[in-house]
Amino acid sequence: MSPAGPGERVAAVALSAPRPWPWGVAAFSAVLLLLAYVASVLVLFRNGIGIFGNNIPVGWGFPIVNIAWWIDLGHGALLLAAGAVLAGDRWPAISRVSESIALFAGAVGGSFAILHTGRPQYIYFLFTYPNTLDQWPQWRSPLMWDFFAIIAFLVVALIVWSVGMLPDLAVLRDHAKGRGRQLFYGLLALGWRGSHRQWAAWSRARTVLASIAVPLAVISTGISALDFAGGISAGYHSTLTPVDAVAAALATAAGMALTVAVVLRRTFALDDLVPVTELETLGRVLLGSALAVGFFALYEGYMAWYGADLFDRYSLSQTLTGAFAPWYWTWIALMVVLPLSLAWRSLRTSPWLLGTLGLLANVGAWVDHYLVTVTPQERGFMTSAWRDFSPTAWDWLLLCGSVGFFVCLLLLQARLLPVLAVHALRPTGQEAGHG
Amino acid sequence: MAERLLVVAALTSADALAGAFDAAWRAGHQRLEALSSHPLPGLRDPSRPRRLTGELGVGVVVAGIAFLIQYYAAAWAYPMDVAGKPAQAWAPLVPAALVLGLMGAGIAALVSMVREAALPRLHHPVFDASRLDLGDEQCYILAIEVKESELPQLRPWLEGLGAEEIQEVRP
Repeated sequence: MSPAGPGERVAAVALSAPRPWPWGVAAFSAVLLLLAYVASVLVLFRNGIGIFGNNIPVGWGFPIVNIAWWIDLGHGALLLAAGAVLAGDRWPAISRVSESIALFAGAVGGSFAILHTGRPQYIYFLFTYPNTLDQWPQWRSPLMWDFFAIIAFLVVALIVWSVGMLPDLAVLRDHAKGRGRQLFYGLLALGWRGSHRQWAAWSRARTVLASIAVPLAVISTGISALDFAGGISAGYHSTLTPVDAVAAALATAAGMALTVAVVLRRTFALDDLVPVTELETLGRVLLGSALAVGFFALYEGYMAWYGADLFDRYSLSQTLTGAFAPWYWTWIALMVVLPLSLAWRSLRTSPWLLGTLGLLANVGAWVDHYLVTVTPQERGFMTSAWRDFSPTAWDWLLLCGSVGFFVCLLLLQARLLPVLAVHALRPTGQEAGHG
Repeated sequence: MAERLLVVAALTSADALAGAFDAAWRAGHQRLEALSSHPLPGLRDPSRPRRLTGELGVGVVVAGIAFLIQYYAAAWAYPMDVAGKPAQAWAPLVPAALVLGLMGAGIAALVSMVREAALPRLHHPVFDASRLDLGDEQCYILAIEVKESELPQLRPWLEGLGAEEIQEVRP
């Protein structure tokens, strides 16, 4: 009997692989957190945003931090996925993991876009529709641009994910045992048979979609950053913010992709299908984008000092040595300093170190979003209006619950769908294109 | 009218399939397909590559409509005075139009792929070739639709190209 090929092994993960005990622990924890998310949402809809720590002047609290964090993660992942396609579509883990992260992070972030209003029944006010009030959205506001950017991003992320998944679903169909599963995967695969015309159409669509996804991810990240940069608060008003946000989004996505890929390859014994060289590629992306984030941090600090604006300088001093210093240095440590260790090849080829650094970079990214969103509001232009922000238990519960929501989606995908991009793998003897 | 058959031949490698496909095309067979579990870069597809005009056109039209709706709302239906900025200013209307245009192009790319790949087609005669394992990653298949009368010549020709398993199914 010939040894199982790469496609058969990936299919077996969804179809027949035994679930190791860490899987059970992860699934149980994720479902618990998902329940916490659902409970928080129900309480939010019943009581409104008064359950959060938002106050005057800090109107943008955790919900906005969470939207920006999740959506930027999604944008970065879409950029990563598109880059992988344009670079030859030969990385099974980078492709599948980053496409999934883009979609799932977008879904979770999109839910916050509805939740943060506290009045989900009025979310349709953001749409353009003829109405009896004869009113329209304010088109000059980046917040309005952001609404459309999120919609466009979610649609394109869904298309990129589903097109990438299509031939791999046919692999599952061909290996499925039992009529029910064959029908399930057969319907999802739309009757894909791998003809040369189908591959040509598919490859062309992948390339076109990647070419669309790159500018979309960059523009969308820039637009969400303009929500802040368009404001006049010291700490918000920076021309570099949109560019900085793209670098940070890419670092966050590379970090998350590393964490997920390392866990997947170890849990399902796919180490040989996801070689260390592939993880190293992600490590390089994390290193490069972390360097860019570090550069922007230095440059923004320098400009705040060089600009000689009283409020900018005060904001800088508070960030570097004042009340916000713990947040700032935590961010710098997790997202800039620690990833610099990947400059050493011996560290860059250690899967667990890569996964850990990736996870820490994501924590750092959340801290960065907190720092950018909340602290400028706490110290505004009028000292009489200064007030600290203090998150409530519901703030933390919804944040942790959203992580559970995201992990649940990843686990569900691993349980039902191909965990690696089979089309990027070559059967034994044809490894030339892989690597 | 002569009965038509789909002749399905399994070849041993990607190179053998690419060679057989090329030979079959040069021999005048135009209703043929090469099937594999992954894209074959060595296979020369004689069909003319499509241009990007469809996706580009849809993207431009969607972006244009989005821009016009915004312009109508901002400059005509509900001109709002925000710090004296002109209601007719076009620059703030670009970002939303741009992202929606990209979304439109993405949807067009999906529709175009589904159409070109002739999906969904849940059943195809090649699935009836019971002696071939389509799930096998080393399975490289050449499928040629021919008249029944051509079969006696086709079989040895395919065997000469290296086909290991040859099966006929009704299209």
